[in-house]
Formats: sequence, structure tokens, C-alpha cells
Amino acid sequence: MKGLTHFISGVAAATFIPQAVRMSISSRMDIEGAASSFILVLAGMYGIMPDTLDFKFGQFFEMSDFVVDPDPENPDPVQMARKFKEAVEKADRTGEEVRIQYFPTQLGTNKWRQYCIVFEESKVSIQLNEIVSTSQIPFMGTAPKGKRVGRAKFSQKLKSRSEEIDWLNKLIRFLRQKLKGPDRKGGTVKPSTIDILSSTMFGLKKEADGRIYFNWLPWHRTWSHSYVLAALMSLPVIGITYLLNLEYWWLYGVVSFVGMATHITEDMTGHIGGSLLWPLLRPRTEGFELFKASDPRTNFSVIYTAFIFIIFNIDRFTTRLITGGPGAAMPWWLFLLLFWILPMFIYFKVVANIKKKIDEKKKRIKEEEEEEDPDGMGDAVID
Amino acid sequence: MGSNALTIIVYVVLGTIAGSILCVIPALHIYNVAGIAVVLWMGTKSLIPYYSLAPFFMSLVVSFAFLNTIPRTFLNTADESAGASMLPSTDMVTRGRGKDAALMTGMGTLAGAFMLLVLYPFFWFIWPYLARVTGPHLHWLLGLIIVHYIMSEWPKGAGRGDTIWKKFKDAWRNVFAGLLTFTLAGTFGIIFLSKPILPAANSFQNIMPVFIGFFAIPSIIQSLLSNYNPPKQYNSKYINADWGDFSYGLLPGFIGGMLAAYLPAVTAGIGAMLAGHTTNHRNLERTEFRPPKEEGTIIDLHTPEMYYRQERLFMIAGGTIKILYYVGAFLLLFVLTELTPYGTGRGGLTFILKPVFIAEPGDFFVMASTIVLSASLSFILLTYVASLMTKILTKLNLKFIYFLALVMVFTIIYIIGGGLMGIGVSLITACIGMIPVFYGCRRSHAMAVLLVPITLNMAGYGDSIIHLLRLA
Amino acid sequence: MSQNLKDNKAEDGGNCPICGYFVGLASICPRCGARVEKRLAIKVARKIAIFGSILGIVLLWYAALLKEPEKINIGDISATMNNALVEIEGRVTSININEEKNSLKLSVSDGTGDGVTINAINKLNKFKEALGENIPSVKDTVRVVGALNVSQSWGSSMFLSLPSRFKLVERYEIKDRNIGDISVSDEGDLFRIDATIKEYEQFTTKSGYLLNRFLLADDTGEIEMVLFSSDFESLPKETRYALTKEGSRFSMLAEVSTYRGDPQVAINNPSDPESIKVLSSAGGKMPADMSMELKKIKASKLTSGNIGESFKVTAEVEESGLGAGGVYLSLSGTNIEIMITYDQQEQIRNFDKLNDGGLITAPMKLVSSDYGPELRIIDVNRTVVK
Repeated sequence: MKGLTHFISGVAAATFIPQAVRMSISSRMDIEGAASSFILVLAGMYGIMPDTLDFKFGQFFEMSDFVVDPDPENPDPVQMARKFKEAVEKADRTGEEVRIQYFPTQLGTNKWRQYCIVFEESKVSIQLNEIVSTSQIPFMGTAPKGKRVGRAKFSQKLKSRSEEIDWLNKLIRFLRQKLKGPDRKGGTVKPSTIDILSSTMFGLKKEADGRIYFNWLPWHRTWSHSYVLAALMSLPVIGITYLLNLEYWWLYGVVSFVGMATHITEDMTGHIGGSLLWPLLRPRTEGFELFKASDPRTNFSVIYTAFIFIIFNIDRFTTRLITGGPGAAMPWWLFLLLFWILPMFIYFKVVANIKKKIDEKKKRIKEEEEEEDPDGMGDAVID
Repeated sequence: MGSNALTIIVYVVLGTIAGSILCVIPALHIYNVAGIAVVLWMGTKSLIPYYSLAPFFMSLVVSFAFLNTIPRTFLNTADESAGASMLPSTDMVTRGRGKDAALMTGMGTLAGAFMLLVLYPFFWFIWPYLARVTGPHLHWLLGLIIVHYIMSEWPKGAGRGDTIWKKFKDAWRNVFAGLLTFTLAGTFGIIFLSKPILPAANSFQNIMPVFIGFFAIPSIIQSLLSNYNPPKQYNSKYINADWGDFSYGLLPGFIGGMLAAYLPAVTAGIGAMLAGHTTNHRNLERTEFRPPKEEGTIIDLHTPEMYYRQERLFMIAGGTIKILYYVGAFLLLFVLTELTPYGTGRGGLTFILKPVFIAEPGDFFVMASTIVLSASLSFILLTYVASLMTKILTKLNLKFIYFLALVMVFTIIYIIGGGLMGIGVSLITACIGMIPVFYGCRRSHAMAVLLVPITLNMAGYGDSIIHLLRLA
Repeated sequence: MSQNLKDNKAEDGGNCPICGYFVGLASICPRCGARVEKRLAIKVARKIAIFGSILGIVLLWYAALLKEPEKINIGDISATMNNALVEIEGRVTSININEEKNSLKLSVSDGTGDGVTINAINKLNKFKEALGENIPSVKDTVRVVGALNVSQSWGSSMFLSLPSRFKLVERYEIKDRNIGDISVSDEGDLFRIDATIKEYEQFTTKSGYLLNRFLLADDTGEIEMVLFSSDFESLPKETRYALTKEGSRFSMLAEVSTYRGDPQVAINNPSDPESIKVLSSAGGKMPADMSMELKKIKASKLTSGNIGESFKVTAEVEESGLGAGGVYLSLSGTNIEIMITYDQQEQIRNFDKLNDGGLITAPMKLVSSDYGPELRIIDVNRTVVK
């Protein structure tokens, strides 16, 4: 899920702790325990922490075996594809995980050269596309006029799911299949697009069946997405608040853990999952594949739900104006019905309608084109 | 009553025209104009009857919300809310579509003006509860904004380098710059608000040189240093947006606008950023890999309509957020309910008028009518001025205009912003404000100047900091 | 390479001369590491930005350190001075210490204007600790540094959070004075007088305020004293009882004012036990059931026939509204409203609960106002809100 979603849902989770809310209210209020505390900010901070660790630190700690940084003036797709082949061959030869990193190409303040990497079972193709803006909108007529595609074949076979998994991953996979039915037989790896800002890294590792497991962003959601790390990272908070002689010093640690644990749990609804028990169990566990991380419906509904529960909780634990107090505006169930369930219902109805129109349009275009997708085509999975 | 209504209408029209003319001047903020207007009004109170005072100032701000789109779009200047609609509009000007950008933003602003009316039941029956419940929690809510704002600035560099440190340094350039800007602006704010050094006589405008320094001066300097040379602009009769764009824009406009209207020191730029993260409609449709269309390719990466729509949404929602921020924040002063007997008005205009004006029950409808009248007039003016700009933009000597704007802002500071001391203050903040310009981080980091001290004061840590700085 | 791309590069003018990568304003290409030549102006501006801002903040701090807040007359305060850090010096005209809310509120006047309210919200203990015996009293001369808050609704006020920004300049010396020696020229002064109650009456003003009028006397003369019901009710029970009995003798701190050209006095700061002491009570010992003297009644049972009577009223509040004099509470089961002054509102614990309804019990008097019968609280200290 998106950063703000994790951030606000961490805060919402922490507001279920009555003492944390009471401590947070302004000390000017005539409420027992009011201390103008910033404790709930910790929940937000730790809510976004796993991705901060990954995207601000973790990704730069990882060195690549192969780097592809295209020449801005004369990008060579053949060379770019060949590098991938070399990486696959090295992975096959050594049995170790080999990492290859593709960098974006910036040409101007708002101009980037876009390229796609299309994977087949034993082939990789790189296609250079138009120059795009930072909003990823192509400038028409800017595709290279000459050589646009480079291909490289290799004798090894790529696969997108690992079979060498531990008990936790097996358990998650079992639960997911129970929940969603059998996994799709995709086989090949989804294509990738590189255009703006960040680079993309792939991990390649030979498994026992002789095939090369293709791992997208191997540094993402590993050690940073661990409940054990969440517990360890809450310890310094406890230590500092204890030394500062703050009342309920231990609660600061609990709130930090709740924020980070909420993030890790939410990410399990996606595709990549996380290394839930790192360092006790290092490999990354797959997710439940319920939602795409960037899906606006999921993100908005979680953010809105979190907002409603933050208001609900801070009111019922402190001001008691909306629910719970003697002169409160309404009973709690009516508040949740009117301000949570009903708006969510309307939102999903409206968005479902929009989505339906989009899908119908897509279908129409597809029918007009009357051509089959090449193997591995479709939406890029970005989690 | 009848003659009063007519007088109010006259002052609304005058306010709209005055605001529209003044706001076309690059880097001039309406709060500077409002400050001068208040001083003039205090000198000759017969100039504006008391009952027309708030409508007059409201129409000044409404016209500003519309007409400042012109300098922002065509003249590449920005104020503290520029994050809401700056980049795509500048990009559109470079493609000759400046009028399109200005009108899309303007229509978003117009939609926002009507939204303020439609929101009446929300303001009256829901908002007071929200304000009362969140009021005693504002310090940590602002703390959340600060922390999220800092933590969500992701590295823009791709992380090139053969060592960890080199990778880190390449990627973190903007993050470092953001942290530095935030820290410097926050430190400046703590010192400046703990012990203001500007003369007492015009201290109601003492934050003005600070903001001119943070936002206006760096924009002008950036424009003077840049090779900004806009191409010939199209003067189309139509805008490239449909009704769907406006309906998509409502939600982010409302969210960003209300955040900026209510939370102290949260500007339209910060509100737009949070609203964008919350709604993120672009991902309803994703890029799709399709069979090749061109010879010599193996794939067609289809960019969906939603991506193009997002660019338009950015401007439309930006326009809506702008008016909720500038005008909505003031309108909340008139939401007088049992829970909010003194209203919940915030923002520069509320601060400027507080010493001379009291909101009374029933004023809300006068102000709502003012908004509708002024917004309609302002939008009509915007269409004419946008057309005019398409004709004259390439003929303008932009460097000269920027230079004049620079001279003008320093003159305003000298007259009502604390004289030489005010100019000195603005030069310090201009230095801080130039860091985002030259190192590519978010400019709104400079809002730490208010966010940090307000949050610390609300939480009760203000005194300790004053002692620490020996400013007691 | 397409023509378009070349045009783009020319337009941006920020690409690496070696590899063509866009470097923006960076001086080293992030891709190939080549040093990129830049225009001098940008280099200079970047350096100014970093060093100027750091140096500027140091200078700002130093300037703030040296800054002496401007000393102003209260009469010179104008709307354009909102937010100014200024120093004022004047006499304390009233003081309100709220132990429960830990707040201190002073009114200060220097004779040039309406006076400034100084608020130290939630800081009382801090001030007591820092000032010790120098906590101000009425008539003391004080010097205060604070940020002005000018509002059309509330007038001029200052938020005071630091004890170091407050100074007691001169403690007011209270002298003994015979009643016969008090004249209009003493207006605003405070004296200790020994007085006997010669007459007492209670009456309601046209605007509905309940007043207590006393004629005080000693061997040298007579003088009138008027107390608002809220001031009267803030006195101890025994004192109130004795004040209503002609012949009772008191020692009191009396503040002189004038009314239609004649001097009159009022008890200064009635809630302070040192302000008035009973020397002898003409009514003898106060009856044991004095505190029970008011009959309990529900507001809904009151009629216009009860105007002028006092009761211990219990009322269920339906709605509240604001008016010129204070807060008006509409009650269920009756058209009679309760009017609570803003001063009383501040002293009533949990008053906010009444905004949403709630139950109020207090000693009240039913008075006649322009809008019909109205209840007035006569003892905020015995007011309970649930």
C-alpha cells in the first residue's frame, strides 16, 4: 500500500489504546491524563518506517553484479538485453543469486527516455520507447528512429515463483489458495518499464529444478518488513522515554510497535509479502495477493476508514461530543453507519461504475484490434 | 436593507476588480494588498462602510484565487501554494497551452467556489463537531503532518555509484536538501516567533517579509537566472477537459482544501500533496502492454487516458484547493454554531481583519453570496486576461517584469513590512527558500517556519525553547 | 537521435557535455561523473543559499537576543500592532486567579487607554514558583512584555507564558482612611476603612442586574457602597449575613469610584478573604441553617409571581446562546432562561457541558428583564453542572 495509507492506518490502530489518546489531548483540557503528548505521532512514524528503511536506506546498501545505465544519446537495446543474458548465465553457472540493475535515463527537467523489458521463458527483449514527462506521459514522435529493440536468448529458463520456500511461506501459500483458489499458471515473468526517477533491480537465482527464479526488487520487503524488527525498533523508544522519565514510558514502545506491525500486516494483502520473522527466518514470504499495492480503491478506503476511526476514538476517549458522552450527538453504531459504512458503499458504487466504463472501453478497443496478446502481456505487477 | 445590499454589491465588484488587477502582478500576494487596504481603511473609515468591510476583503481574496493563476501559469512565478498547480501548468505553457492550463485551474477554482455553497450542511452540522473534537488534539495532528511531510520525500536520485556511500549521496540529494530546508525554516520560525525583531507599528504584517523571502524572491531569482522563453501560445475556444475531469477533481479538491483551510500552517501545496496521496485516481487505469503497432517494435506500451486525465486533475483540483484554502479558511469564521460560537476561521485574512471586524450570525449568507458574485466576475475576467496573455506573452520582456516584481516586493516590505529590518529578514528567508530551487526538493518545506513553532507551542514546549535560545 | 530530443536538450541547457545525461543544476554528472561547467550565477546563488541561510539564522538569533521590546502606551495600541512584542507598564485594575484551571488573568491600565488583559493560561503555578511573594495584587504597578493580540471581539490582550517577562515594579501601599476623608479626588485609590452598615437594600437594574447597595458610616461621615450580586455571592457566608444586618462593623479594602459626582466605594477583590473582615455582626451568630436558607425548586415550577425571590434552582438545559451580557441557557419545560455572565461562565466548572444540554443546579434569583423573567446565578461557587 501507499505510504500515507500505512502512515494513517498505524495512527488509527494506536488510537484504539485509550491511554495513548488521553495522553495526547492538550493539557489545557479538563481531562484526566491530558498531557499534550506526541505519542500518536510515533505510530505514524513507525507506520511508514518499513518503506523508509527500504527506499531511503536498504536499496542503496545493495550492490548489483550487473549495471545497465543506458547512454542518453545513443542507447543500445542489444547491449542492454545482452547484459541480462550474462546475468542469467552467471546465475546458472555459480548457483548464487545474481543481481542486475537497470537505471533510468533523464534527458531534461521533465524528460525521460522510457524503455520496456519483456521477459519470455528463455529470452529477454528491450524496447526503447518515447521520451516521457515526469508524469509518465509520452511526447509523441520522440521514439528513436533507428534501432529500438534488442533481444538476447539464453538456454536457461526463467520462472516467477520460487519453489524453495520455508514453512511460513508454505503456510501463507496454503492459506492464500484456500482463500483465493489455486494460483494462476502464469509461468513467465511480467514485463517491466523503466522511465522516471528510480532504478529497477532483479535478482536471479538457480533453483533445484534447474530454472532461474526471477526476483523483482530483491531488497524490498525483506528485513525491514519483520515483526521481530518492529519489536526490536520499539526498544530504543522505550529506553529514551524511560530515561526522559516520561509517564507511561512503556506505552511509547507499544505504540511504535503497533504502527510498524500494522504496516507489515497490511503489506501481506499484496503480492510481495515480507520477511515476517527476520532475522529468525530470513526469506521473504509471499503475500495473500488480495490487492495491488497501488490500487486507489484499497488505499482510499483504508485511509478513509482510518480517518473515521481516529475521529471516533479520540472523541470517545476524550471529548465525547459525537458518541459516548451524556449529551453526545448520536450512538456509536449510528456514527459508524452514517460516516463509515454508507460513504464507503457510495464510494465503491461510484468507483465500480467508473471501473466498469474503463473495462468496457478496453474491451471495445481489444475487439477492434482482434489480436492476441503476446505471452506474458498484461498489467505490470508493481507492489 | 435594500440600499445596504446594493452598497455591498458595489464593494464586492470593486474588490473583485481591484484584486484582479493587483493579482496579475507576479509575486504579489493578496495578503500584502489586504494589509495595505486595512491600513488605508483605518485611516479613513468612511471609505468602506463597516458592513461592507468583510465582503470587500472577501472579494479581494476570491479574485486573487482566480487571477493569480495568470502569473503562476504564464510568468512561471509561484507563491507558497504553488505545489498545487505549478509544474503541469508550466509544462503546458512550454507546449503553447498556457490558456488551457489557466482556464482549467480557473474552472477548478470556480467549482470550488460553488462547492463552498454546497458544503453549507457540512459546515453547519458536521464541521463544528470535527473542529471541536480535533481542536484539543491539533498539536499532534500537526506533528503527523510534519513527520509525514518529511518522511514522504523519497530520494529522487536513482542511486548510482560503485560504493554504498556514492549511491546514497546520489539518491539523497533532494532528501538532504529537504531536511536542511525544513530544519533551517523551523529554526528561523522558532526564533522569529519567540521574539519578533520587526517594529511594533506594523507587526500585523510581520510574517509578510518572511513569506516573500521564502517563496516570492526565490521564484523571481529562479526566473531571472533561467532561460524561460515561452513559445507562442494557442488561443483556443475550448479547454481540453470534460465534465468527468471535474467530477474526479471534487474529492481531492475537497480533501486538500479542507486540510489547508483548517490546519494552521498547512498550505494549499501541502493539502494538495496529501489529497493526491489519498485519492491517487491515476492508478484506476494502468499502463498496459499491448501487441505492437509500429514496425520494428515488439510491444506497445499503452498509456491510458487516466494518465492524461491526471495532469488535468492536478490543475482542476489545484484550483479547487486554492479557493478552499484562501476563501474557505475565511468563510469558516462565519460558521457560528453552538459548538463553534466564534467560528473556526483561519488564514491570513482572518488574522488581518480580526482587530477590526466581528463575524455575526447571519453573515454567512452575505459572505456566500459575495463568493458567488465575485467568483463569477473573476472567472470572466480570467478568461479575458488568459486570452490577452496568449497574444502578448512572447512580446513581453519577462526579465524586466521579474526585475520590476523584485523591486516592488522590496518596496512593499520597506513600507509596511518593517523597513530595512524587514528587508533583512526577507533576505535570510530568501536564502533558505533558494535551497529547494537549487537542490530540487519540495518548496513547501519552508512552511516549517510556522508548522514547527505552532506545533511546539500547542504542545506546551514553547517556553523551554525560548529559554534554550536565551530569548526570554 | 531525433531532432526533437536535441531541441529538448537545447531548451533545458542542463545536460552533461560528456554523456548527455540531464544534470540539472548539479555540478557533477550523476551518470558519468564528469564535472559540468555551469554559469557563474547559479554557482554563486547555490553558495549564497546555503551559507546565507545559516549565517542569516545566526544573525537573526543575535538580533533577537539584543532586541529590547518597544515600550508603548496602552492608548497607542492599534489594529496594525497585532502580534507585536511590546512592553507595557501600568496598574493592575483587576486580577483573577483560577487555581483549578491553573490560570492567572490580570487587567492592566496605564491611564492612556482601555486597559490590556494579560492571560497566563495554565501557568499560574509556574508564576507562583517564579515570582514568590511578587505575585501581583490590584493597584500594583507591573511591567509586562508580551505579544499583543488585538481583536474586535475581545479588545487588546497579551499572552504571557514566561515569568521572566513579568515584573512587579511597585507594590501598592494601602493606607487607612476615615470615611469622611474620602473624596472624588481619591478615585481609583484603595484604602482600608472601618465601617458600620447603616442601610442595606437589594434592587434590580433596568437591564436586569441584581445589585446590593449599602450605606457605610464611621464617626467622620457616610459613603455608599454598591456590590454586584456575583461579587456579593463570592463573599464568605458569614460576611454576607453580617453585611445584610444594619449595625454590623467591618474592616475592608475599599476602592473609590464616583457616581454622579459623589464618591462611592466597592470591596476590592471580594473573593480574597483579606478584603473584608467582620469586626462585629449585628445579627448575632449566623443561624446554622444559613446555607440551607434557599428553597430548592425546579426551574419548570417557577412563575412570574416568583420575580424577586431567590431559590436553589435545578434546571435542565436544552440550548445555549450568546448575547451581549453573557450566555443564555434555554431550559426544558419553561420559557424562563438563565443568563450567565462571561465572568461567571469562566468560574463555573464543566460549563462546556451545558453547550450540549445538561443539568445545572445553583442559587439563583428570578429577575425581570426586557425579555421577561430571567434567572441569575447569585453564587457561582455553589453552582454544579452535570
